[in-house]
Amino acid sequence: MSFKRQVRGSRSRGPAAGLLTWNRRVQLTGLVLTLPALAFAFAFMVYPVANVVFLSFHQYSPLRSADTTYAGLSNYTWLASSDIVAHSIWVTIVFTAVSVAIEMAAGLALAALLAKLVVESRHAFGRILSRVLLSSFILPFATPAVAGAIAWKMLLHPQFGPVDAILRTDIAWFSQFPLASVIAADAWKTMPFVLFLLFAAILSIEPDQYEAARLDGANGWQEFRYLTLPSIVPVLAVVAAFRAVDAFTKIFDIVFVTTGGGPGNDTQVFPLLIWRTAFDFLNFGQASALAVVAVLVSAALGASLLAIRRISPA
Amino acid sequence: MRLGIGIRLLSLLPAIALLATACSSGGNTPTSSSAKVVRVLAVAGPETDALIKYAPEFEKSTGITASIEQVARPLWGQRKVRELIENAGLYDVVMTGGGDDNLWVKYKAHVKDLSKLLPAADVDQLILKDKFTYNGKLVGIPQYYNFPMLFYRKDLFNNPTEQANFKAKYGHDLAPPTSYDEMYQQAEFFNRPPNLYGFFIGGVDWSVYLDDTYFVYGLGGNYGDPTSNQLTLNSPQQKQAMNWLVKFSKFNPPGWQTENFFDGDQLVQNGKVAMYQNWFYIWKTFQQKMPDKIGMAPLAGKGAHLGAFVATIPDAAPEPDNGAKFIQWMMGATYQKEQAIETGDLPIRKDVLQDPDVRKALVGIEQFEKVLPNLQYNQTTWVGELSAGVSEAIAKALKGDLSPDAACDWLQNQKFSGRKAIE
Amino acid sequence: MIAFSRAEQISRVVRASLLALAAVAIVIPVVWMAIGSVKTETELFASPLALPAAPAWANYGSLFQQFHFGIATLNSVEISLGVVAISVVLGGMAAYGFSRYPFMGSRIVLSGLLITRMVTPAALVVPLYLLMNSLGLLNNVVSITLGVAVLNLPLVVWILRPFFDALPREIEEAGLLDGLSPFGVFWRVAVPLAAPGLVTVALLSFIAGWTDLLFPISFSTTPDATPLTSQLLQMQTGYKIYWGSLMAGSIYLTLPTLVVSFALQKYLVRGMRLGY
Repeated sequence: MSFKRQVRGSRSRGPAAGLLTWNRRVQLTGLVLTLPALAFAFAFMVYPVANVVFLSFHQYSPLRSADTTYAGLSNYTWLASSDIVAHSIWVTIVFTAVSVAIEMAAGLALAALLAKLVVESRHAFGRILSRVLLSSFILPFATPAVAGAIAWKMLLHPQFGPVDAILRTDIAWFSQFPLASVIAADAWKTMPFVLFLLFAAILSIEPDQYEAARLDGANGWQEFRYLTLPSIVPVLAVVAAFRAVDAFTKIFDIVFVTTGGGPGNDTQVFPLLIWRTAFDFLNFGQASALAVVAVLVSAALGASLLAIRRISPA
Repeated sequence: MRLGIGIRLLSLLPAIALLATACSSGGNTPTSSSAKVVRVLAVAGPETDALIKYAPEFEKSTGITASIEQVARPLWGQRKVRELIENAGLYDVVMTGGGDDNLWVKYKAHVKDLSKLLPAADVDQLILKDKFTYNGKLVGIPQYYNFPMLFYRKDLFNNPTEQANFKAKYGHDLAPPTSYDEMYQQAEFFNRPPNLYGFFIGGVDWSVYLDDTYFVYGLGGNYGDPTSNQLTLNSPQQKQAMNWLVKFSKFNPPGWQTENFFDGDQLVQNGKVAMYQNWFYIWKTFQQKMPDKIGMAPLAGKGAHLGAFVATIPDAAPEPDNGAKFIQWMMGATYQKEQAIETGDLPIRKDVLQDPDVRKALVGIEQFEKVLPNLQYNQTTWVGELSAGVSEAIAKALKGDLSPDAACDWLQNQKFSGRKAIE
Repeated sequence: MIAFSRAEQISRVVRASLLALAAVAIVIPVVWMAIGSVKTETELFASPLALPAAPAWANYGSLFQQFHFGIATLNSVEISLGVVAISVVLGGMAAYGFSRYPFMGSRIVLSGLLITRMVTPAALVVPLYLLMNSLGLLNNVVSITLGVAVLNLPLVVWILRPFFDALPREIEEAGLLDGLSPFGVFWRVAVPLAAPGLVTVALLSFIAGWTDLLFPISFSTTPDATPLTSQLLQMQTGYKIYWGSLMAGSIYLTLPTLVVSFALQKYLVRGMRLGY
């Protein structure tokens, strides 16, 4: 077996570069190092996913009986024709679109403002202020999702929530505007991600460019629109793409704690639908079919993310 | 190439190993249990609070420690299934819902026959024993009885001017309704926005489903028929019930769509609502706070929704004898009397029902006794999913997307087409 | 250095004010909940905007008396540390392997890593529940730990690999020539040098384990295996909500991650950036 053709490109990195004869040893060592993680991932992710594909062609509902019976494509036909599933996917899409839009807008605005503050601060006060601000912006990230959801539930409570107290209304936000309230809570929780990423990206723009812009007489807004924004478009795209995928696939905690999917099915996002079908309705066959669809969607989105990352190096 | 295959083969090993363990082990290792503990799975609520409060008496008389776990309602369903179908074997006593779980417990759950574990003297005292017996097997013992009643503004009903006006308009006396038509007239009569509204139905899905059951059982209908194993979601009674629900909702105060029956309690106390249907737990509060203002009457109609926590002993219970002792205490005359006076719920024993102290404490007990023989429960084995669907249909009818009749047809023919009463 | 004109001064103040306002708005939910956690329920409903007359520490006491927070804390700690251990050890080794000893197909596996990061946790929990059931691991913190760890692992490898990539090879090659095995080089040379990265992933793994809700509610139903996150939800009983305890419990849950995040802010921010 000839290994020569493998010694090229990426193979010229690492200890292999200087020790060509150990190529086989290199590969084996790599295998040994990565095997535990791969085995772990295989046992608890790949194998279960394979299992769920299998189960999606069966019926298993502990509420009725402990048997697993073959069901062909019935779970999938149910899925394709069910109003609830279509509605759930729609709700999740709307949620993703609006939440990501808000996070990106708010994160971008704050990141730009913060970056300008940091760049222009000449006194200790400016530096201290930016430190304090950064620390406070981290708070939503450092708060567990459950706690954040509960905090928002109280914030928007019709009887003792400050929002209604200040507005002098008694709107039950999570009951009357459920999706909007969930989006608000989620945007609050995830905005720090966007903020810190864009902050770093903006700071990495060369200061000379700012000097040049200033000499040209640009004011703050023009500077932002014609210098900052174009420079970080690649980062914006990648971050938005990642956030969208995360929002679509991982929204669960906030909805579970605040609205439980309701009222009715108004906020029943797709991950919640999967969970309820399995653990509330105890229909594992249908839940498996839903899970398979979710995994396929994740795979497709992940692949597109890979493509985006290759196109716009961040 | 070779290594590529090697990777794949090597990574199969852990999975194979896991499969091997999965096949060989099986089920849970039983929790170590001393003979001196009884583990009870209960749901959060005032009745469980009473159980916990008086449990020390049980512990003193039997020497067995009572470990009563209160679980939040949303998580209760999964736990019941784990214990009673998947035989998890973590509890000796599992509380189920009398109104929703009864058929499922009878047909599907793996529970012991309590008539073999409890003294006959106690079992004979059980009111409505037949409701919990299936093919001769006693599947559960209720902890208490609770059911909805009608609550109305007694002061308005007793007001001579109101009575005169009502008689003039409708041609008969103003008195607690004995039919839904009368109830409708009265709601209409007292509907005087914005200060007084004729009726209250909580619009939140789990609350509005309950109101639906009041009408459905009241009209003599149900959601399924075990003998034919069909769903009866668009029977004439169901359609009538749906129609009534929509009609009565017209007399609701604004904001009702996102409220539940607890809010209704508040509204009635604040004088905003003239009449509503609710579990009679609230009667005690009304009695204490405003005995002259609010009256109670049986629901207009034939049947009422049975509310109870029903104690069962799983087949896989680690200490079934301890469980039996616990249930024996729970259904004993001493605790039943204490509970009735404490919570205002009805006792399950014939003798305690006749006890003068109990009858004194439960004001209006004669009214309760009228309803007691007509208690109904859901005749399907999958109420969790069913009630969610029913709430969906109700929402459509209330919003006007579908007519009430069409909503019932949608429920039977589309939403749950092909489903059976017992699954 | 160009001095600021008047207009620029004003804009600077405006910008700083906007930022300050945003910061206040962002911390308000948690701050307000902290205030609410020491109010009694009557105070809460009666005067939403007022400060409590006297702090109602009983809310915090109730957590331990009524809601099993003692055991739950222990469980949360076990889960978090377990996730950290699995993630750092397995993830660290794998990241080093990918970085220094790429084998055939490792590129594909790395791309696969990105895709597995996008897996819907709720989808994975369904088969994992059945798997854990058959292994007899339900109602056991081990199952929760394994579930959280497997979803955390891709991110860990993703973040650590550039750290190992960035290490100077000369030191490693020196170690190899000195007679150390590759694993020895990993353990004695690479790990100490990549310590900042390891701190970052340890922090992120801890947060993942401490804050997860999905696996606890799916795998654990008994109090002795329930961590803080799902135990918190027990206060929403469906019949009544214990608001005081709920708020106190939320603050109790938040404090550790808050403290740790502020203390290790640098690593956290780096982790966020590298995660993309």
